[in-house]
Amino acid sequence: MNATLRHTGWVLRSNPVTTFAAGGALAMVIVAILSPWIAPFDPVASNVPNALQPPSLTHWAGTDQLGRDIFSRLIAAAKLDLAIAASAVGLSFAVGAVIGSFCGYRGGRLDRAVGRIVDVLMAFPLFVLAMALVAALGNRVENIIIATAIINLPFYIRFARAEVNVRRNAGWVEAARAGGDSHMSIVLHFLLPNILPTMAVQISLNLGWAILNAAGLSFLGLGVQAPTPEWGIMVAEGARFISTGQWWLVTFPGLALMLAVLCFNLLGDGLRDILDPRMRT
Amino acid sequence: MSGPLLQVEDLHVSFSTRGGIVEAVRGISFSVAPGKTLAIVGESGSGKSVTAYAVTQLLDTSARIARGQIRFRGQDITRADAAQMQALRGAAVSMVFQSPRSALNPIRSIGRQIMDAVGAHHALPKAAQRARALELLQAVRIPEDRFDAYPGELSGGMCQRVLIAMAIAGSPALLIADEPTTGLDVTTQKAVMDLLARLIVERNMSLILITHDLGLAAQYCADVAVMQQGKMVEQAPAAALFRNPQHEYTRKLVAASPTFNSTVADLVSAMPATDRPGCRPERSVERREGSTAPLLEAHNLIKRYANATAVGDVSFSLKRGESLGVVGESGSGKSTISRMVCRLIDQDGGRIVFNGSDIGTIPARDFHASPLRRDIQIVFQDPHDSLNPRFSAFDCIAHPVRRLLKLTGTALQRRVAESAERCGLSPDLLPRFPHQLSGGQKARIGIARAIAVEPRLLVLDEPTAALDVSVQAIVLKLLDDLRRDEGLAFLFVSHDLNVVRMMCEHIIVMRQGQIVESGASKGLFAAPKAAYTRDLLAAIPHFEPEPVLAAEA
Repeated sequence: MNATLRHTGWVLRSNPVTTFAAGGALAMVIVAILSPWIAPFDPVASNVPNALQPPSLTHWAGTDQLGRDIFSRLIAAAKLDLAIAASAVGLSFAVGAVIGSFCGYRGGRLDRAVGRIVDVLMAFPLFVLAMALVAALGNRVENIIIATAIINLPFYIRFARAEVNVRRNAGWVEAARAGGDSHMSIVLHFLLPNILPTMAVQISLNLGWAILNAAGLSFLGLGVQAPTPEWGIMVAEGARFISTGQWWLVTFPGLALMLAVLCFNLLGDGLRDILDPRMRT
Repeated sequence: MSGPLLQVEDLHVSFSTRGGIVEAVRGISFSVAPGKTLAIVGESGSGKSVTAYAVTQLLDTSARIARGQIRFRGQDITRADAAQMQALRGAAVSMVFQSPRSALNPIRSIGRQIMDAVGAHHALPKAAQRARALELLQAVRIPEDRFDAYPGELSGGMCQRVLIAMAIAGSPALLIADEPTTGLDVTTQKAVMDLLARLIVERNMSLILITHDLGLAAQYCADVAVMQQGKMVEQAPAAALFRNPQHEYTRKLVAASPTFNSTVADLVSAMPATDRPGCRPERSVERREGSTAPLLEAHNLIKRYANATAVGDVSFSLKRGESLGVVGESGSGKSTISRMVCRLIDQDGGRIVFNGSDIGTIPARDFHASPLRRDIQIVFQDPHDSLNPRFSAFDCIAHPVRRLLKLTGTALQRRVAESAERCGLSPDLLPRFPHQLSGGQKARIGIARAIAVEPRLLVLDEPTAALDVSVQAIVLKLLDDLRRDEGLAFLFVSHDLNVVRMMCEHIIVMRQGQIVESGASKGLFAAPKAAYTRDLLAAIPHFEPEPVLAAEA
């Protein structure tokens, strides 16, 4: 444990970009969790006389067309967007890692069949597929999560399959069999924990992408509906006001999105260094 | 030419790492005269390869020659620039690397690669390059029709010969061979080394042979230098060094190297008592030779892969407390046999009877649930690869105990601690992860894991092939003691005949999936019947007779 902390410290010190990304991602998660208590204004209460105010000391990011405080809405939206992204990625990771691991370990007919299904899935333009899924399943938050999870699934299956495939003939896998483990137990207790570090990198990179995906669906009017605070909806609504000079309506949610995606992507690279035991000497 | 060809004085090489500066080579001096042969021997981490890389300026970017001087033909090349070294490399100093297959470009034919090497030194027209490449192929005894073959189509020994052809393409005065035959079978090793020795004499080259194998050094080099932890502890003519080693470390190395007549006890004789595994005094256990029914019987075992027969109709038997050696070169099917006996893979034919019950009928897939699973355990070849990187040493040993004996809590802890202690592992090593342990410690964990469930048959699949000789000596002693103490039966798979002779009463010699000879190990070594066994025995490098090249020296 101590060694892990030392190693983490070393990675963070020698890699300021990772430190920045980890700090940013952590801050965002904390803000999202505490959003009901720290938002200065009610994110959904409209106050029409106060509409379209530019950023000021009271309203840090200005107000929108209904007079709602944009900063408070950004914080509330962080909770929803991060929750959607995290659940979607968690779901595709859980399903994809297990399916991929079994395919990679067993090989043979099952592996080929799953491989072809994944190929078919990936042949669709993935965002269009997500749109179709949400349209078919209905405009609800859970359906955005399912759609995002499904379009991410192929990456996890392929990734887990490849990672397990290179390890399935390792000596410690044979040793586990001599030690009384069934094939099933080897996949679950030996191979899955071993591919976690590399999967963590994939998860982190994928989180950014999933946030963008959820926001994109809402931007197009699928998924989360107004007046719920959500970055994609805020960008969509704010876009109408760019031509009349109220830039803050679209700029701040856009910046929030950018920052979130950037932090999770950069964090992924740093995670790889922290979690790889071979890096610890 | 007068004076030494290569002279190294007080060489220091250091690496800058996260943990600070690490000194890999700490002040070594040696020289090689024209036409002479020098072996640099040492165990892993002794700095022998770093020395070679320093001479050819092929060091890693994190390495630095901190002090000292390297002179080639009197010219200081310690800090030679890239252009100077380019002219020197290949034409004056050339190198043959370990793992020949990875040193060759897999998508270029070997003839082309030799032509490239020729072209790097002489601006010749294509046709002349080709003619020269063919000459070189002939020199390393590869038939001309293999000119267009790709490295993947050749055996490891052939690949190494191609590398030798490339190394001598520029007619160098000095050839440095870094573990040129590690990973090759003994008969292949002999062929490659004999070829190398002949070329050295014919072309009047000097040779620096870097190796961990004392026998190889003694047989092919006139002088031997022994390195330990970056220092050269002893340097002498080969015959003198092995007959009368001066330094304590050299004595330990010489004693630890198995020979035709050494015993397991001899190997660790020169080691201080603290280095030896903590084994209890030998208990007198009756070997029950010939008294009881066989513990393991294999009848007509057959294993086929897609288009080849890995094991064809092999039968043997093993009594309680007995040790059976399975010897053969790569592709002989010996590892396949060990895995079939362990029920890790299914056989395609034949019966495996363990203690009276036909375990061959239980599919390998279901054997994990069999009550006999704990009775048959295996120790793997590569100690590093056989430990789960995410398990601590304790968990590695504890896992099969939990699974097979259903022990938990203090009973589990006691069992793991006992097993570790028997293998000479101190308790403070148990919380560590594999990457924090040395090769020898990992090997002991692999053994502790196998014996923790108290098996009756232990299959040892090249248990010491990846270890240094001094560590090998300790591990062999440990295994021998365990067998004596526990009355374990061993199926000992190895390519090293000397090791098998010490460890086993009976031996079967395998080739291409067939048994070519079997019998009691003493008789088999003294009077081998099959020609193949004789070849194998003759190919083992040993340091008793005069070195082959000493006469030329």
